[in-house]
Amino acid sequence: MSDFRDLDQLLQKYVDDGLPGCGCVIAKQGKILYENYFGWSDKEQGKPLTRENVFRQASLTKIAMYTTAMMLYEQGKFLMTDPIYEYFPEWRNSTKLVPGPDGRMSIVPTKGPITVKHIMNMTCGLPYDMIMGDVPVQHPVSGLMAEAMKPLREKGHYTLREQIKAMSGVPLAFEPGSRFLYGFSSELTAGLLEAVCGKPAETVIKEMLFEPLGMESSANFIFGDLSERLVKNYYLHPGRRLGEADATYALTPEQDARFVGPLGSVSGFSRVVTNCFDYTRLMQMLACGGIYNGTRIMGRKTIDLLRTNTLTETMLREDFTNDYLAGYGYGYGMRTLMDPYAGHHNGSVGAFGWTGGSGTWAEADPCEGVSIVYMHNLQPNLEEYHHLRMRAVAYGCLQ
Amino acid sequence: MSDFSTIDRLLQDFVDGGLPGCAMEIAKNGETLYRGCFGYADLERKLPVTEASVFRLASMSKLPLVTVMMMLYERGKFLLTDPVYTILPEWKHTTKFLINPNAYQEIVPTKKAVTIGDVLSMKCGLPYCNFPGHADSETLRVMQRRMQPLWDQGHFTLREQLKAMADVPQLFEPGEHWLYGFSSEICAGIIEEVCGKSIDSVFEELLFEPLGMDSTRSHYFGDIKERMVKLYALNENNEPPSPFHTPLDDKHLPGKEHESGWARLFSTTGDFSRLMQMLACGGTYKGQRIMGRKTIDMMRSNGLNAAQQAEFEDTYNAGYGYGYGVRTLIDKNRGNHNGSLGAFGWTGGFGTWCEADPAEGISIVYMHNTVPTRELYYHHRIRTAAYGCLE
Repeated sequence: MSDFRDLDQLLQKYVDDGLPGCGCVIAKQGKILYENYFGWSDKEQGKPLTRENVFRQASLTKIAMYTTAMMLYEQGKFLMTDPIYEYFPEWRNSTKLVPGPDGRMSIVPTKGPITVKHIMNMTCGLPYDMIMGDVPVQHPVSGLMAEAMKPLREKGHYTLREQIKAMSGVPLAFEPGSRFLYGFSSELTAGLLEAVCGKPAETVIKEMLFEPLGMESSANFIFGDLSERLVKNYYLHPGRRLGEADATYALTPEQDARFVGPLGSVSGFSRVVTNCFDYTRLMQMLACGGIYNGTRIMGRKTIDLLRTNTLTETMLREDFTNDYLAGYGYGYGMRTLMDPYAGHHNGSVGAFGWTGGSGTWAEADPCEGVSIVYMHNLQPNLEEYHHLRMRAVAYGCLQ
Repeated sequence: MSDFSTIDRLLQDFVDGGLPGCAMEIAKNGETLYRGCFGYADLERKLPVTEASVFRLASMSKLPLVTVMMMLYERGKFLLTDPVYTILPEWKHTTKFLINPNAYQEIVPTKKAVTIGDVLSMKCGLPYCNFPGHADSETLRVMQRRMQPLWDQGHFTLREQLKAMADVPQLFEPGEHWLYGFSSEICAGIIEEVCGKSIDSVFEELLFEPLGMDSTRSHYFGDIKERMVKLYALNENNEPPSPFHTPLDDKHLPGKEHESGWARLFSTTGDFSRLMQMLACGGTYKGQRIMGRKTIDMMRSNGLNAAQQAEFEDTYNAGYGYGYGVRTLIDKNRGNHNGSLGAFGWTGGFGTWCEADPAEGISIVYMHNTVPTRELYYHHRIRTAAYGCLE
């Protein structure tokens, strides 16, 4: 039996140091090895965090979405080499920004179209135009994207398809496939799910993953009692440190509604709400060759492809590099461990997963059949402090 | 147990989308995992594709060809560094086109002789020359001039064809570039000379009989002709497929007058799976050892340098290198390929595809017969679905 006292101590210290609450589930070959919750779902009202609580996943949604996309890939629904204009005709003629010697940008046609591969591995050349954490995105294309989105945002509610259409005229940051740039690729991938399946991406993911895996507290939209079970959306006041008095505040339900809401009520593509226990089902399926609880969800060989690095050495060195991502490459919508030494990572090569901007983290390690899911909701998420410590201790606890 | 309903749906979609018919077999460690037959062998007569349906292999005939070459190699019949002329003496004086800096072209002797390794790895400077017609190089024009008397006479042997080509000025120094083409004819000639019998007899003795590939030959016999699927042209604008005649079919007619050049093979998915299973399982099929595991490992090792890789790789072959007569997976990311590194096989120009994955003991054989093949659409989808279905 593994001994998880070190993990208990670490997560308790997170809360003692001011994190409102966190949970973690570690499983191996279908069995839960560790499950524990610390702190509060609502600190002001003194409500403790329990297994019943659900968290906003932000970009951890990408694990579910890209998994679904790879399932459709292995069903022969599309090829990675397909230009995306086969699915979104208005994307036929892409342009890109080219900096001139005087620093001014000119707009020229791209040599080739954006392909499905480029939206799977984030090389399509469109960043996000939204505010990430509390840091506005500084990218020339982001400004153009925000401009293109203005009419839709003024309208209030818009569909993913409308958003994709609005973005089609925005010049790309570079030739598709030549650089890694985190961003709008994931919206295009969600759009691909809709185009291929003929229903909302939220519904596709629910039908292909959440229902077969019995993830009853997971959805890309609020239903049933999820809104009551949702932890508060905490923010850290700018310039303040966790642990100081009144360092954090929570969004009001009205402010929060733009992130979570019933099916069809959130603009564009919504983000998953789930908990550690539920997401562990998904991560266990990915860690155990596509099978969960005897049910086959997808192919082992396709998971092996999903976690194959797709970035060139240049992209790894210049585009996908920071202390948080050290040691990882990027596969089809997820990071994948290439160099444990570079990442000071005590997991196995080929362990893969992603992070949510609101503080959630998940990794599957097929070598060990192990999955690790950690969640808190705090923005900025202080991921480098919390996730990398938790990761080191979690792998350290394994037998 | 693996669930292959995804493949059933995909192949049915192919047929619903206008493909006349197709068949597929997946096997692992000697056991058949999946067998599927969809659509029609003959649309006009409404004859369905069945397990007995026979398909034209075209270039997938290269799989048995290079397998036999490697078997002879591991029996010490030749070294890959041996010049081809040690077996086919007329290949002693090979030449090539030399383009001078002022664009003046001259014909000069090659610095090195063409070796058996060169032809086994498609690095001889002669393209294909199956029909008269447009020539995009001086080499092809010379090949056509040399072939014309043989085409006029109708019947010719492989050896006559090889003799006619021996001193054609090649496009480049042997071994320096990858070029799909006449190399395989030279391999067939080497096999005939080393074994002292026709390539068809060698295939039978070394592969088809030991493996029980009863429906795989180059000439019609028994009920093969009735079992062969019709060749169809796939038309644009949703027009239905129409029957298509190829003069290559005449090469399947029995009789000496049709033994022109190296005839192409026909086979069934079941038959070809036996060959691919042998290759996927270390040279052994159902307990019978056909060839060496280590020789198969050599056969599927990449032999292309960076420049040759660029000549070889296109969208269809992305992620693969080229070994001895087969493509071999070297980069899953480039190919978006969910098989294992070292998976190897080839394609036929009428729509067949095969791959052996020794890491898994898996073989995948897919067949349809159409012009054009639309291979990128069909083959990459069935490849992804097949590997996706594995437990």
